[in-house]
Amino acid sequence: MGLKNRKAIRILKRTVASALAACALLCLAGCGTSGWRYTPVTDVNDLEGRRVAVLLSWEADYYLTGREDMEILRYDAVSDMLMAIKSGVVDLMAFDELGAKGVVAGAEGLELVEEPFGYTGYTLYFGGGEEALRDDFNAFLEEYKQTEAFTDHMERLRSFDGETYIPPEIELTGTGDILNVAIEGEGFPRTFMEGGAAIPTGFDVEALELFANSRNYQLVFYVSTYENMVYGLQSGLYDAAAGYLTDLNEEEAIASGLLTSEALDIVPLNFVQKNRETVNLRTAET
Amino acid sequence: MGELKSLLYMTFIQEDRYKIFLDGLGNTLLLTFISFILGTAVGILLCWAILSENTAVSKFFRRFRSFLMELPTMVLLMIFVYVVFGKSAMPVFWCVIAGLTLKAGAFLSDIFESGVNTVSPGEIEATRTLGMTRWQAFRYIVLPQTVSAALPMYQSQFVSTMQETSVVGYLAVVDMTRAASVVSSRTLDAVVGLVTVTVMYFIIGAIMKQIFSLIVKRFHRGGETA
Repeated sequence: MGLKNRKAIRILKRTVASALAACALLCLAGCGTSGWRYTPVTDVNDLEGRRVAVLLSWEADYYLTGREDMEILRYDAVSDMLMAIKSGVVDLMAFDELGAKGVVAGAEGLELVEEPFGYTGYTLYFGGGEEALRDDFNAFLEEYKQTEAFTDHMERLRSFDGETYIPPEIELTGTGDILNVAIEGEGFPRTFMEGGAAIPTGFDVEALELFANSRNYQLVFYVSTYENMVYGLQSGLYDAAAGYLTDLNEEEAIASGLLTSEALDIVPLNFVQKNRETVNLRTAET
Repeated sequence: MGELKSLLYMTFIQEDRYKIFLDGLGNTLLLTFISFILGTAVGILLCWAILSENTAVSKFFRRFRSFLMELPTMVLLMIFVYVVFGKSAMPVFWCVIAGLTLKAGAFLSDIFESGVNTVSPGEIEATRTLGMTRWQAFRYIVLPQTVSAALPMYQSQFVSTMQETSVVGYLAVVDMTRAASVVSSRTLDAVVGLVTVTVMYFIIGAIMKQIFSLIVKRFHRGGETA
């Protein structure tokens, strides 16, 4: 091989190596962050081409599945969804109103899209052999919905600010049979553990406590996760389960051998998007 | 039996859920093949840069490679999706491919470097003595030995790349593992979905093993003929 060829190869080699190094550095420095194209949503029926984050197997996931006008990205945790919306990977996050308000209150730079895109009812699940208990709970719900306690429940639900849940004072008075109930421990504000005392509380817990008092049950709560609640109900470990259990997947729950109650309350489903003021500021800067 | 039938119906037929598995299969195959093929190119270039006579370039790329190799795949993908390409219009799928390509490229360059190092310097010197050009020495002496030494590890890396695609579900890309999670979350049963994807992964792995075996056989036969 001639001297000229060798020199040419060496130059080529150095050029490729330097180009690779430059690409690697540019890539890690974030050269791909230039395409800021976000525009806030004004109409929930016009979401063509939008990327929407939902929590896997939560109500918004069930509700939006099948929508072909938008791209649905299913995440496992709210923190992942927050990262996705803040970095621009998704345009919107979809929750029930309570969850949406909680996210807006807890994270900066986000706002609720006021117009709901749907509604969901929250129910209780019961084990396969608990028809009598389920029917009794449904009968209780009918009575409960006529009371002032329920009016107060709904008022507090509607005015929930995403941060503050003030439970009514309910003293457990049941002395009869034990009712084993699994609850989602992190389902604020429907089912969660109150502060250091680790006392189960929340909108669903209120209803369960009133039910137990009215039917003289002794209530025993088990803090669990969604999967464990389902397996626990299937195996007979628990009599009932509560905590963000939506009627949108009622069919599957029944097919899995579980029973569902009537809806305790109906809650809107809302999108959360980047705060319009923040977006406008950033757009103006760029 | 009736329960199993109903479970199978819910897993595959209801709401056309078999399509979720097919989408997952397609995405897993695309992620694996594209990132492995591009990773091979990246690996060759990285190996070339690492074996460069320019010490600064070689050192830089050696460190860059070890950074890529030591970083967990999930973290690397999150950096690509949320930081590097976060505000670009690039779909998450392609951001993930970019991350997987670099990850595969780093490991492949290591494999190629080990392959090149199996050739003793004495052999290369001998080729020079025989009057071969650098290209001829590379083509007839270095390359066959490198390929022969690297092929088994190259095959294993393919399987590793396929396995690494199973983390992309956390970034909301529906691969086979995620497809099983999505369907299980609907049917409230984990077993049927998991068995389905286990069989699918096994079949892809077995097919690729056969393909690589054929390539290795062909390569050795070619070597004997030459």
